[in-house]
Amino acid sequence: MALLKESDPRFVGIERKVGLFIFLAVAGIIAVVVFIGVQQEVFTPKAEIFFVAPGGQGINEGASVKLSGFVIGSVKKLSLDDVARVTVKLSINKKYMKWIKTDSTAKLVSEGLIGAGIIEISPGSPSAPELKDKGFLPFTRDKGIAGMAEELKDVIKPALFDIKNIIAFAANDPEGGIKVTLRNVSRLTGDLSTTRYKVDELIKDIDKAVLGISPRVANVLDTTNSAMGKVDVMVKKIDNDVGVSMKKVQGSLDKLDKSLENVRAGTEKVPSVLQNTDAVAQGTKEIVDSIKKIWPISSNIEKPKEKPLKVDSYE
Amino acid sequence: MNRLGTALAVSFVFLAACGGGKLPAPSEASIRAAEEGKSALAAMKKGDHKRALAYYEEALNINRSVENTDGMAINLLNMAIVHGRSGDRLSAHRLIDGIVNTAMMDVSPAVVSEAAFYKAVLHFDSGQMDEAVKWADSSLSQCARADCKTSGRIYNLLARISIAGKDFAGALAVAERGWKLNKDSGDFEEEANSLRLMAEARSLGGNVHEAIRLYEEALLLDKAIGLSRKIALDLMGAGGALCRAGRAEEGKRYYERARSVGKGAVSEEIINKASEAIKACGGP
Repeated sequence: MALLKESDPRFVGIERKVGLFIFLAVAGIIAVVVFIGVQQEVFTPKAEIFFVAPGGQGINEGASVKLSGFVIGSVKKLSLDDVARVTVKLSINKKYMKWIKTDSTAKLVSEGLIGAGIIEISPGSPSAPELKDKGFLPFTRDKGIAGMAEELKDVIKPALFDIKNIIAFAANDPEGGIKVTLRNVSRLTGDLSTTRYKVDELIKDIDKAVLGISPRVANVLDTTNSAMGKVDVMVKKIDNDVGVSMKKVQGSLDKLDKSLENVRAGTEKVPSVLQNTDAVAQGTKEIVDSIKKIWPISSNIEKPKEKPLKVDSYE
Repeated sequence: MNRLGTALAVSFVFLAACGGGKLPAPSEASIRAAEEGKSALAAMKKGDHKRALAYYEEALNINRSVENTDGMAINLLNMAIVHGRSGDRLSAHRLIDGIVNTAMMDVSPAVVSEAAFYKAVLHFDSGQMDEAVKWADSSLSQCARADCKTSGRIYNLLARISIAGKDFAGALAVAERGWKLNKDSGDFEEEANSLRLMAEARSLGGNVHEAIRLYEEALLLDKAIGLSRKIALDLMGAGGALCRAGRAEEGKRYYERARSVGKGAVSEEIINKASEAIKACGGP
Protein backbone atom coordinates (compact mmCIF):
# COMPACT_ATOMS: atom_id res chain seq x y z
CA MET A 1 0.00 0.00 0.00
CA ALA A 2 1.47 3.34 -1.07
CA LEU A 3 1.78 5.79 1.82
CA LEU A 4 2.07 8.85 -0.40
CA LYS A 5 -0.05 9.65 -3.42
CA GLU A 6 1.83 10.18 -6.66
CA SER A 7 -0.10 13.33 -7.22
CA ASP A 8 1.09 14.86 -3.92
CA PRO A 9 2.33 18.32 -5.02
CA ARG A 10 5.36 18.21 -2.69
CA PHE A 11 6.85 15.21 -4.51
CA VAL A 12 5.92 15.97 -8.09
CA GLY A 13 9.18 16.04 -10.08
CA ILE A 14 11.24 15.50 -6.89
CA GLU A 15 14.07 13.79 -8.80
CA ARG A 16 14.38 16.75 -11.17
CA LYS A 17 14.40 19.22 -8.28
CA VAL A 18 17.10 17.32 -6.36
CA GLY A 19 19.16 16.86 -9.51
CA LEU A 20 18.93 20.56 -10.31
CA PHE A 21 19.92 21.48 -6.75
CA ILE A 22 22.99 19.22 -6.80
CA PHE A 23 23.97 20.43 -10.24
CA LEU A 24 23.76 24.08 -9.14
CA ALA A 25 25.73 23.32 -5.96
CA VAL A 26 28.53 21.54 -7.84
CA ALA A 27 28.62 24.25 -10.50
CA GLY A 28 28.84 26.87 -7.75
CA ILE A 29 31.70 25.03 -6.04
CA ILE A 30 33.61 24.69 -9.31
CA ALA A 31 33.05 28.36 -10.07
CA VAL A 32 34.37 29.37 -6.64
CA VAL A 33 37.43 27.12 -7.03
CA VAL A 34 38.17 28.56 -10.47
CA PHE A 35 37.63 32.09 -9.19
CA ILE A 36 40.01 31.50 -6.28
CA GLY A 37 42.47 29.90 -8.63
CA VAL A 38 42.40 32.92 -10.90
CA GLN A 39 42.78 35.27 -7.89
CA GLN A 40 45.73 33.23 -6.60
CA GLU A 41 47.24 33.10 -10.10
CA VAL A 42 47.17 29.31 -10.19
CA PHE A 43 46.44 29.32 -13.93
CA THR A 44 48.99 32.01 -14.71
CA PRO A 45 51.96 30.63 -16.66
CA LYS A 46 55.07 30.70 -14.51
CA ALA A 47 58.80 30.31 -14.97
CA GLU A 48 61.29 28.94 -12.46
CA ILE A 49 64.65 30.48 -11.63
CA PHE A 50 67.19 29.61 -8.92
CA PHE A 51 69.86 30.99 -6.67
CA VAL A 52 72.25 29.38 -4.20
CA ALA A 53 72.75 30.83 -0.70
CA PRO A 54 75.25 29.88 2.02
CA GLY A 55 72.38 29.57 4.53
CA GLY A 56 68.56 29.65 4.57
CA GLN A 57 68.09 32.09 7.50
CA GLY A 58 65.39 34.63 6.69
CA ILE A 59 64.32 32.88 3.46
CA ASN A 60 60.88 31.29 3.74
CA GLU A 61 58.75 29.34 1.28
CA GLY A 62 55.95 31.55 0.01
CA ALA A 63 57.89 34.78 0.61
CA SER A 64 57.32 37.46 -2.02
CA VAL A 65 59.74 38.10 -4.86
CA LYS A 66 59.81 41.74 -5.92
CA LEU A 67 61.31 43.69 -8.77
CA SER A 68 61.38 47.50 -8.47
CA GLY A 69 58.94 47.18 -5.54
CA PHE A 70 56.41 45.16 -7.59
CA VAL A 71 55.49 41.57 -6.62
CA ILE A 72 56.45 39.30 -9.54
CA GLY A 73 56.50 35.88 -7.91
CA SER A 74 57.24 33.90 -4.79
CA VAL A 75 59.76 31.56 -3.18
CA LYS A 76 58.64 28.09 -4.21
CA LYS A 77 61.06 25.72 -2.54
CA LEU A 78 64.24 25.52 -0.46
CA SER A 79 66.49 22.47 -0.58
CA LEU A 80 69.80 21.58 1.03
CA ASP A 81 72.63 20.10 -1.03
CA ASP A 82 75.43 17.81 0.09
CA VAL A 83 77.77 20.62 1.07
CA ALA A 84 75.07 22.33 3.18
CA ARG A 85 74.35 25.12 0.70
CA VAL A 86 70.72 26.05 0.13
CA THR A 87 69.27 26.02 -3.40
CA VAL A 88 66.23 28.31 -3.60
CA LYS A 89 63.63 27.90 -6.36
CA LEU A 90 61.63 31.01 -7.31
CA SER A 91 58.33 30.91 -9.21
CA ILE A 92 58.02 34.01 -11.43
CA ASN A 93 55.07 35.11 -13.64
CA LYS A 94 56.25 34.63 -17.19
CA LYS A 95 55.15 38.11 -18.23
CA TYR A 96 57.76 39.63 -15.87
CA MET A 97 60.69 37.46 -17.05
CA LYS A 98 61.61 40.03 -19.71
CA TRP A 99 62.93 42.37 -16.97
CA ILE A 100 65.14 39.73 -15.41
CA LYS A 101 68.53 39.69 -17.16
CA THR A 102 71.61 37.48 -16.92
CA ASP A 103 73.34 40.21 -14.85
CA SER A 104 70.42 40.67 -12.43
CA THR A 105 71.03 39.75 -8.79
CA ALA A 106 68.79 38.32 -6.06
CA LYS A 107 69.02 39.96 -2.65
CA LEU A 108 67.39 39.09 0.67
CA VAL A 109 66.01 42.29 2.25
CA SER A 110 63.64 43.09 5.13
CA GLU A 111 60.42 44.97 4.45
CA GLY A 112 60.78 48.02 6.66
CA LEU A 113 63.26 48.05 9.54
CA ILE A 114 62.19 44.75 11.16
CA GLY A 115 59.75 43.36 8.60
CA ALA A 116 59.54 39.89 6.99
CA GLY A 117 62.25 38.85 4.55
CA ILE A 118 61.56 39.18 0.83
CA ILE A 119 63.67 38.54 -2.23
CA GLU A 120 64.47 41.68 -4.23
CA ILE A 121 65.64 41.11 -7.83
CA SER A 122 67.60 43.92 -9.50
CA PRO A 123 66.55 44.65 -13.11
CA GLY A 124 70.08 44.28 -14.60
CA SER A 125 71.43 46.26 -17.57
CA PRO A 126 69.07 46.84 -20.57
CA SER A 127 71.61 45.48 -23.08
CA ALA A 128 72.06 42.15 -21.25
CA PRO A 129 70.12 39.11 -22.53
CA GLU A 130 67.02 37.90 -20.66
CA LEU A 131 67.47 35.12 -18.13
CA LYS A 132 65.97 31.88 -19.40
CA ASP A 133 63.64 29.50 -17.58
CA LYS A 134 65.56 27.41 -14.97
CA GLY A 135 68.32 30.04 -15.05
CA PHE A 136 70.54 31.04 -12.12
CA LEU A 137 71.06 34.34 -10.34
CA PRO A 138 73.86 35.35 -7.97
CA PHE A 139 72.71 36.04 -4.39
CA THR A 140 73.53 38.68 -1.76
CA ARG A 141 72.10 39.36 1.69
CA ASP A 142 71.13 42.70 3.32
CA LYS A 143 72.86 43.47 6.61
CA GLY A 144 69.67 43.97 8.65
CA ILE A 145 69.38 45.43 12.16
CA ALA A 146 71.54 42.76 13.75
CA GLY A 147 74.38 43.48 11.31
CA MET A 148 74.15 47.25 11.85
CA ALA A 149 74.04 46.80 15.63
CA GLU A 150 77.10 44.56 15.45
CA GLU A 151 78.99 47.21 13.45
CA LEU A 152 77.99 49.97 15.91
CA LYS A 153 79.04 47.81 18.82
CA ASP A 154 82.49 47.29 17.29
CA VAL A 155 82.91 51.08 16.99
CA ILE A 156 81.41 52.17 20.31
CA LYS A 157 83.01 49.58 22.56
CA PRO A 158 86.65 50.55 21.92
CA ALA A 159 85.73 54.27 22.18
CA LEU A 160 84.06 53.72 25.57
CA PHE A 161 87.04 51.71 26.74
CA ASP A 162 89.42 54.51 25.74
CA ILE A 163 87.29 57.15 27.49
CA LYS A 164 87.23 55.04 30.65
CA ASN A 165 91.00 54.70 30.57
CA ILE A 166 91.45 58.44 30.08
CA ILE A 167 89.12 59.16 33.00
CA ALA A 168 90.92 56.66 35.21
CA PHE A 169 94.24 58.14 34.26
CA ALA A 170 93.12 61.73 34.78
CA ALA A 171 91.08 61.22 37.95
CA ASN A 172 92.74 58.44 39.84
CA ASP A 173 96.43 58.44 39.05
CA PRO A 174 98.07 60.74 41.55
CA GLU A 175 101.08 60.92 39.26
CA GLY A 176 98.87 61.72 36.25
CA GLY A 177 99.92 64.61 33.98
CA ILE A 178 97.04 66.95 34.83
CA LYS A 179 97.30 66.53 38.57
CA VAL A 180 101.06 66.95 38.52
CA THR A 181 100.73 70.14 36.47
CA LEU A 182 98.10 71.57 38.80
CA ARG A 183 100.15 70.60 41.80
CA ASN A 184 103.16 72.36 40.32
CA VAL A 185 101.17 75.48 39.56
CA SER A 186 99.86 75.47 43.10
CA ARG A 187 103.39 75.10 44.48
CA LEU A 188 104.62 77.87 42.21
CA THR A 189 101.98 80.27 43.35
CA GLY A 190 102.74 79.40 46.96
CA ASP A 191 106.43 79.99 46.35
CA LEU A 192 105.69 83.23 44.54
CA SER A 193 103.81 84.51 47.59
CA THR A 194 106.74 83.68 49.84
CA THR A 195 109.13 85.26 47.41
CA ARG A 196 106.99 88.31 47.19
CA TYR A 197 107.00 88.66 50.98
CA LYS A 198 110.75 88.37 51.13
CA VAL A 199 111.19 90.87 48.36
CA ASP A 200 108.83 93.11 50.24
CA GLU A 201 110.99 92.98 53.34
CA LEU A 202 114.10 93.54 51.32
CA ILE A 203 112.59 96.55 49.72
CA LYS A 204 111.74 97.99 53.07
CA ASP A 205 115.33 97.50 54.19
CA ILE A 206 116.66 98.99 51.01
CA ASP A 207 114.15 101.72 51.34
CA LYS A 208 115.44 102.61 54.68
CA ALA A 209 118.99 102.34 53.51
CA VAL A 210 118.70 104.40 50.40
CA LEU A 211 115.86 106.66 51.23
CA GLY A 212 118.19 109.34 51.96
CA ILE A 213 120.31 108.70 48.85
CA SER A 214 117.96 109.88 46.16
CA PRO A 215 114.25 110.62 45.84
CA ARG A 216 114.37 109.11 42.30
CA VAL A 217 115.55 105.79 43.67
CA ALA A 218 112.75 105.96 46.18
CA ASN A 219 110.33 106.50 43.32
CA VAL A 220 111.68 103.50 41.49
CA LEU A 221 111.30 101.46 44.56
CA ASP A 222 107.70 102.60 45.03
CA THR A 223 106.89 101.65 41.45
CA THR A 224 108.46 98.24 41.93
CA ASN A 225 106.45 97.80 45.07
CA SER A 226 103.16 98.53 43.34
CA ALA A 227 104.11 96.24 40.44
CA MET A 228 104.78 93.41 42.87
CA GLY A 229 101.40 94.14 44.44
CA LYS A 230 99.75 93.69 41.05
CA VAL A 231 101.65 90.41 40.50
CA ASP A 232 100.38 89.25 43.84
CA VAL A 233 96.79 89.97 42.81
CA MET A 234 97.29 88.16 39.51
CA VAL A 235 98.78 85.10 41.20
CA LYS A 236 95.87 84.94 43.64
CA LYS A 237 93.42 85.18 40.74
CA ILE A 238 95.22 82.39 38.84
CA ASP A 239 95.21 80.24 41.97
CA ASN A 240 91.49 80.83 42.41
CA ASP A 241 90.70 80.11 38.77
CA VAL A 242 92.68 76.88 38.80
CA GLY A 243 90.79 75.79 41.89
CA VAL A 244 87.43 76.49 40.24
CA SER A 245 88.50 74.66 37.05
CA MET A 246 89.66 71.65 39.08
CA LYS A 247 86.27 71.48 40.76
CA LYS A 248 84.48 71.61 37.39
CA VAL A 249 86.73 68.91 35.91
CA GLN A 250 86.16 66.71 38.94
CA GLY A 251 82.40 67.22 38.59
CA SER A 252 82.52 66.19 34.90
CA LEU A 253 84.63 63.16 35.73
CA ASP A 254 82.10 62.13 38.38
CA LYS A 255 79.23 62.40 35.88
CA LEU A 256 81.11 60.34 33.30
CA ASP A 257 81.87 57.74 35.93
CA LYS A 258 78.13 57.47 36.73
CA SER A 259 77.31 57.03 33.02
CA LEU A 260 79.81 54.20 32.73
CA GLU A 261 78.32 52.61 35.82
CA ASN A 262 74.87 52.70 34.14
CA VAL A 263 76.29 51.08 31.01
CA ARG A 264 77.90 48.39 33.17
CA ALA A 265 74.59 47.77 34.99
CA GLY A 266 72.76 47.53 31.65
CA THR A 267 75.15 44.93 30.25
CA GLU A 268 74.91 42.88 33.47
CA LYS A 269 71.21 42.31 32.69
CA VAL A 270 72.05 40.85 29.25
CA PRO A 271 73.07 37.35 30.50
CA SER A 272 69.74 36.91 32.36
CA VAL A 273 67.82 38.08 29.27
CA LEU A 274 69.79 35.57 27.21
CA GLN A 275 69.00 32.83 29.73
CA ASN A 276 65.28 33.61 29.51
CA THR A 277 65.49 33.62 25.72
CA ASP A 278 67.24 30.25 25.87
CA ALA A 279 64.43 28.80 28.05
CA VAL A 280 61.79 30.14 25.67
CA ALA A 281 63.67 28.69 22.70
CA GLN A 282 63.87 25.30 24.43
CA GLY A 283 60.13 25.36 25.14
CA THR A 284 59.41 26.31 21.54
CA LYS A 285 61.60 23.44 20.33
CA GLU A 286 59.62 20.98 22.46
CA ILE A 287 56.34 22.26 21.05
CA VAL A 288 57.67 22.12 17.48
CA ASP A 289 58.99 18.57 18.02
CA SER A 290 55.52 17.51 19.21
CA ILE A 291 53.78 19.20 16.27
CA LYS A 292 56.19 17.50 13.88
CA LYS A 293 54.81 14.12 14.94
CA ILE A 294 51.19 15.04 14.08
CA TRP A 295 49.75 14.09 10.71
CA PRO A 296 49.68 15.68 8.06
CA ILE A 297 52.71 17.69 9.18
CA SER A 298 54.78 14.56 9.91
CA SER A 299 54.35 13.28 6.36
CA ASN A 300 55.92 16.48 5.00
CA ILE A 301 58.99 16.43 7.22
CA GLU A 302 62.02 14.65 5.79
CA LYS A 303 63.24 11.84 8.03
CA PRO A 304 66.99 11.86 8.89
CA LYS A 305 68.69 9.70 6.29
CA GLU A 306 72.19 8.49 5.59
CA LYS A 307 73.52 9.48 2.18
CA PRO A 308 76.76 8.86 0.30
CA LEU A 309 79.10 11.87 -0.06
CA LYS A 310 78.67 13.61 -3.38
CA VAL A 311 81.50 12.76 -5.76
CA ASP A 312 81.91 15.20 -8.62
CA SER A 313 82.86 14.01 -12.09
CA TYR A 314 85.80 16.46 -11.78
CA GLU A 315 86.91 15.00 -8.41
CA MET B 1 17.73 14.34 1.22
CA ASN B 2 18.56 12.85 4.63
CA ARG B 3 20.17 9.81 3.00
CA LEU B 4 22.00 12.04 0.53
CA GLY B 5 23.26 14.28 3.30
CA THR B 6 24.40 11.30 5.35
CA ALA B 7 26.18 9.81 2.32
CA LEU B 8 28.00 13.10 1.68
CA ALA B 9 29.03 13.45 5.31
CA VAL B 10 30.34 9.88 5.45
CA SER B 11 32.28 10.33 2.21
CA PHE B 12 33.96 13.49 3.53
CA VAL B 13 34.99 11.73 6.70
CA PHE B 14 36.28 8.82 4.66
CA LEU B 15 38.34 11.14 2.45
CA ALA B 16 39.80 12.87 5.51
CA ALA B 17 40.71 9.54 7.02
CA CYS B 18 42.33 8.34 3.78
CA GLY B 19 45.31 10.64 4.26
CA GLY B 20 45.60 9.79 7.93
CA GLY B 21 47.92 6.81 7.67
CA LYS B 22 50.98 7.23 9.88
CA LEU B 23 54.29 6.11 8.44
CA PRO B 24 56.49 4.01 10.72
CA ALA B 25 58.96 6.26 12.57
CA PRO B 26 62.68 5.74 11.83
CA SER B 27 64.45 3.56 14.39
CA GLU B 28 66.63 5.02 17.12
CA ALA B 29 69.66 3.34 15.53
CA SER B 30 69.08 4.86 12.11
CA ILE B 31 68.59 8.32 13.65
CA ARG B 32 71.87 7.98 15.59
CA ALA B 33 73.69 6.75 12.52
CA ALA B 34 72.32 9.65 10.47
CA GLU B 35 73.47 12.10 13.21
CA GLU B 36 76.99 10.61 13.10
CA GLY B 37 76.93 11.07 9.33
CA LYS B 38 75.96 14.73 9.76
CA SER B 39 78.84 15.25 12.20
CA ALA B 40 81.21 13.57 9.75
CA LEU B 41 80.05 15.87 6.96
CA ALA B 42 80.64 18.91 9.19
CA ALA B 43 84.16 17.64 9.96
CA MET B 44 84.82 17.14 6.24
CA LYS B 45 83.77 20.72 5.56
CA LYS B 46 86.41 21.90 8.06
CA GLY B 47 89.01 19.63 6.42
CA ASP B 48 89.34 17.38 9.49
CA HIS B 49 89.51 14.02 7.68
CA LYS B 50 90.62 12.08 10.73
CA ARG B 51 87.58 13.14 12.76
CA ALA B 52 85.27 12.48 9.78
CA LEU B 53 86.62 8.92 9.52
CA ALA B 54 85.96 8.40 13.23
CA TYR B 55 82.33 9.53 12.84
CA TYR B 56 81.78 7.33 9.77
CA GLU B 57 83.27 4.35 11.60
CA GLU B 58 80.86 4.93 14.47
CA ALA B 59 77.94 5.11 12.02
CA LEU B 60 79.21 1.90 10.37
CA ASN B 61 79.22 0.10 13.72
CA ILE B 62 75.70 1.29 14.51
CA ASN B 63 74.47 -0.04 11.14
CA ARG B 64 76.37 -3.26 11.69
CA SER B 65 74.65 -3.74 15.05
CA VAL B 66 71.22 -3.75 13.32
CA GLU B 67 72.45 -5.48 10.12
CA ASN B 68 71.49 -2.54 7.92
CA THR B 69 73.50 -3.50 4.81
CA ASP B 70 72.70 -0.33 2.88
CA GLY B 71 73.78 1.81 5.82
CA MET B 72 77.00 -0.20 6.15
CA ALA B 73 77.71 0.18 2.41
CA ILE B 74 77.07 3.93 2.49
CA ASN B 75 79.49 4.42 5.38
CA LEU B 76 82.16 2.21 3.81
CA LEU B 77 81.83 4.27 0.63
CA ASN B 78 82.08 7.53 2.56
CA MET B 79 85.19 6.31 4.37
CA ALA B 80 86.67 5.33 1.01
CA ILE B 81 85.99 8.84 -0.31
CA VAL B 82 87.64 10.41 2.75
CA HIS B 83 90.72 8.21 2.23
CA GLY B 84 90.74 9.08 -1.47
CA ARG B 85 90.62 12.80 -0.74
CA SER B 86 93.45 12.38 1.78
CA GLY B 87 95.57 10.74 -0.96
CA ASP B 88 95.35 7.16 0.37
CA ARG B 89 94.02 5.45 -2.78
CA LEU B 90 94.94 1.95 -1.60
CA SER B 91 92.65 2.18 1.43
CA ALA B 92 89.93 3.70 -0.74
CA HIS B 93 90.09 0.79 -3.21
CA ARG B 94 90.10 -1.74 -0.39
CA LEU B 95 86.96 -0.29 1.21
CA ILE B 96 85.06 -0.06 -2.07
CA ASP B 97 85.97 -3.62 -3.02
CA GLY B 98 84.08 -4.65 0.10
CA ILE B 99 80.91 -3.23 -1.50
CA VAL B 100 81.24 -3.98 -5.22
CA ASN B 101 82.74 -7.45 -4.99
CA THR B 102 79.51 -8.77 -3.44
CA ALA B 103 81.14 -9.33 -0.11
CA MET B 104 77.97 -7.71 1.24
CA MET B 105 74.51 -9.00 0.35
CA ASP B 106 71.38 -7.00 -0.37
CA VAL B 107 73.07 -3.69 -1.02
CA SER B 108 70.76 -1.55 -3.13
CA PRO B 109 71.78 -0.91 -6.76
CA ALA B 110 71.86 2.86 -6.14
CA VAL B 111 74.61 2.46 -3.53
CA VAL B 112 76.54 -0.06 -5.66
CA SER B 113 76.32 2.43 -8.55
CA GLU B 114 77.83 5.17 -6.36
CA ALA B 115 80.63 2.84 -5.25
CA ALA B 116 81.38 1.74 -8.82
CA PHE B 117 81.43 5.39 -9.93
CA TYR B 118 83.98 6.32 -7.28
CA LYS B 119 86.11 3.30 -8.23
CA ALA B 120 86.04 4.58 -11.83
CA VAL B 121 87.12 8.05 -10.59
CA LEU B 122 90.03 6.53 -8.64
CA HIS B 123 91.21 4.58 -11.71
CA PHE B 124 90.87 7.68 -13.91
CA ASP B 125 93.00 9.73 -11.51
CA SER B 126 95.64 6.99 -11.59
CA GLY B 127 95.64 6.99 -15.42
CA GLN B 128 94.15 3.48 -15.70
CA MET B 129 91.62 4.31 -18.40
CA ASP B 130 90.49 0.77 -19.28
CA GLU B 131 89.62 0.03 -15.67
CA ALA B 132 87.96 3.43 -15.38
CA VAL B 133 85.70 2.70 -18.39
CA LYS B 134 84.84 -0.74 -17.04
CA TRP B 135 83.75 0.63 -13.66
CA ALA B 136 81.92 3.59 -15.19
CA ASP B 137 79.88 1.18 -17.34
CA SER B 138 79.16 -0.93 -14.27
CA SER B 139 77.99 2.19 -12.44
CA LEU B 140 75.68 3.09 -15.36
CA SER B 141 74.05 -0.32 -15.43
CA GLN B 142 73.47 -0.29 -11.63
CA CYS B 143 72.10 3.24 -11.93
CA ALA B 144 69.65 2.09 -14.61
CA ARG B 145 68.52 -0.76 -12.31
CA ALA B 146 67.94 1.72 -9.50
CA ASP B 147 66.31 4.29 -11.80
CA CYS B 148 68.64 6.87 -10.27
CA LYS B 149 69.01 10.47 -11.46
CA THR B 150 72.82 10.70 -11.39
CA SER B 151 73.67 9.02 -14.68
CA GLY B 152 74.59 12.42 -16.18
CA ARG B 153 77.61 12.54 -13.90
CA ILE B 154 78.78 9.13 -15.13
CA TYR B 155 78.57 10.33 -18.75
CA ASN B 156 80.69 13.31 -17.76
CA LEU B 157 83.37 10.97 -16.46
CA LEU B 158 83.19 8.90 -19.66
CA ALA B 159 83.60 12.13 -21.65
CA ARG B 160 86.76 12.96 -19.64
CA ILE B 161 88.08 9.47 -20.38
CA SER B 162 87.40 9.96 -24.11
CA ILE B 163 89.21 13.31 -24.11
CA ALA B 164 92.19 11.67 -22.39
CA GLY B 165 92.11 9.04 -25.14
CA LYS B 166 92.02 11.83 -27.82
CA ASP B 167 88.57 10.76 -29.07
CA PHE B 168 87.16 14.31 -29.21
CA ALA B 169 84.09 13.57 -31.33
CA GLY B 170 83.13 10.71 -29.04
CA ALA B 171 83.75 12.88 -25.98
CA LEU B 172 81.46 15.58 -27.40
CA ALA B 173 78.61 13.13 -27.99
CA VAL B 174 78.92 11.63 -24.50
CA ALA B 175 79.20 15.07 -22.83
CA GLU B 176 76.07 16.27 -24.67
CA ARG B 177 74.19 13.25 -23.42
CA GLY B 178 75.40 13.94 -19.90
CA TRP B 179 74.42 17.61 -20.21
CA LYS B 180 70.80 16.76 -21.10
CA LEU B 181 70.53 14.32 -18.19
CA ASN B 182 72.08 16.75 -15.70
CA LYS B 183 69.84 19.59 -16.87
CA ASP B 184 66.73 17.45 -16.48
CA SER B 185 67.73 16.26 -13.01
CA GLY B 186 68.51 19.80 -11.83
CA ASP B 187 72.16 19.03 -10.95
CA PHE B 188 73.67 22.45 -11.71
CA GLU B 189 77.25 21.53 -10.81
CA GLU B 190 77.33 18.57 -13.16
CA GLU B 191 75.51 20.60 -15.83
CA ALA B 192 78.39 23.10 -15.66
CA ASN B 193 80.87 20.19 -15.82
CA SER B 194 79.12 18.91 -18.97
CA LEU B 195 79.32 22.35 -20.59
CA ARG B 196 83.02 22.55 -19.76
CA LEU B 197 83.65 19.10 -21.28
CA MET B 198 81.72 20.02 -24.42
CA ALA B 199 83.79 23.19 -24.64
CA GLU B 200 87.04 21.22 -24.24
CA ALA B 201 86.00 18.73 -26.91
CA ARG B 202 85.07 21.57 -29.28
CA SER B 203 88.31 23.38 -28.60
CA LEU B 204 90.48 20.33 -29.19
CA GLY B 205 88.42 19.59 -32.30
CA GLY B 206 89.30 23.04 -33.67
CA ASN B 207 86.06 24.98 -33.09
CA VAL B 208 87.34 27.80 -30.86
CA HIS B 209 84.34 30.14 -31.21
CA GLU B 210 81.87 27.50 -30.01
CA ALA B 211 84.30 26.41 -27.28
CA ILE B 212 84.50 29.95 -25.83
CA ARG B 213 80.72 30.26 -25.89
CA LEU B 214 80.37 27.00 -23.94
CA TYR B 215 83.10 27.97 -21.46
CA GLU B 216 81.30 31.27 -20.82
CA GLU B 217 78.03 29.40 -20.23
CA ALA B 218 79.72 27.05 -17.76
CA LEU B 219 81.36 30.07 -16.11
CA LEU B 220 77.96 31.75 -15.56
CA LEU B 221 76.63 28.65 -13.82
CA ASP B 222 79.75 28.13 -11.69
CA LYS B 223 79.72 31.81 -10.64
CA ALA B 224 76.08 31.56 -9.59
CA ILE B 225 76.89 28.46 -7.51
CA GLY B 226 80.08 30.09 -6.19
CA LEU B 227 82.74 27.40 -6.77
CA SER B 228 86.19 29.00 -7.11
CA ARG B 229 87.94 25.86 -8.37
CA LYS B 230 85.41 25.35 -11.16
CA ILE B 231 85.47 29.03 -12.11
CA ALA B 232 89.25 28.77 -12.45
CA LEU B 233 88.88 25.62 -14.59
CA ASP B 234 86.46 27.43 -16.92
CA LEU B 235 88.81 30.41 -17.27
CA MET B 236 91.86 28.20 -17.77
CA GLY B 237 89.97 26.19 -20.40
CA ALA B 238 88.99 29.32 -22.32
CA GLY B 239 92.56 30.61 -22.07
CA GLY B 240 93.93 27.32 -23.36
CA ALA B 241 91.51 27.29 -26.31
CA LEU B 242 92.54 30.80 -27.34
CA CYS B 243 96.26 30.18 -26.89
CA ARG B 244 96.10 27.03 -29.04
CA ALA B 245 94.26 29.03 -31.74
CA GLY B 246 97.10 31.58 -31.81
CA ARG B 247 95.16 34.32 -29.94
CA ALA B 248 97.74 34.62 -27.21
CA GLU B 249 96.74 38.04 -25.80
CA GLU B 250 93.12 37.03 -25.30
CA GLY B 251 94.21 33.70 -23.87
CA LYS B 252 96.57 35.34 -21.37
CA ARG B 253 93.74 37.60 -20.15
CA TYR B 254 91.71 34.54 -19.24
CA TYR B 255 94.72 33.01 -17.48
CA GLU B 256 95.21 36.27 -15.52
CA ARG B 257 91.60 36.09 -14.41
CA ALA B 258 92.11 32.49 -13.30
CA ARG B 259 95.21 33.53 -11.33
CA SER B 260 93.21 36.29 -9.66
CA VAL B 261 90.52 33.79 -8.68
CA GLY B 262 93.26 31.56 -7.25
CA LYS B 263 94.60 34.45 -5.15
CA GLY B 264 91.13 35.23 -3.84
CA ALA B 265 90.56 31.58 -2.95
CA VAL B 266 94.12 31.27 -1.51
CA SER B 267 94.80 28.26 -3.74
CA GLU B 268 98.48 27.78 -4.57
CA GLU B 269 97.54 25.05 -7.05
CA ILE B 270 95.40 27.39 -9.18
CA ILE B 271 97.91 30.24 -8.96
CA ASN B 272 100.81 28.01 -10.04
CA LYS B 273 98.89 26.41 -12.91
CA ALA B 274 97.72 29.80 -14.18
CA SER B 275 101.25 31.23 -13.96
CA GLU B 276 102.70 28.27 -15.88
CA ALA B 277 99.99 28.60 -18.50
CA ILE B 278 100.74 32.31 -18.97
CA LYS B 279 104.43 31.51 -19.48
CA ALA B 280 103.61 28.72 -21.93
CA CYS B 281 101.33 31.10 -23.84
CA GLY B 282 104.22 33.52 -24.24
CA GLY B 283 103.80 35.73 -21.20
CA PRO B 284 106.22 36.94 -18.47
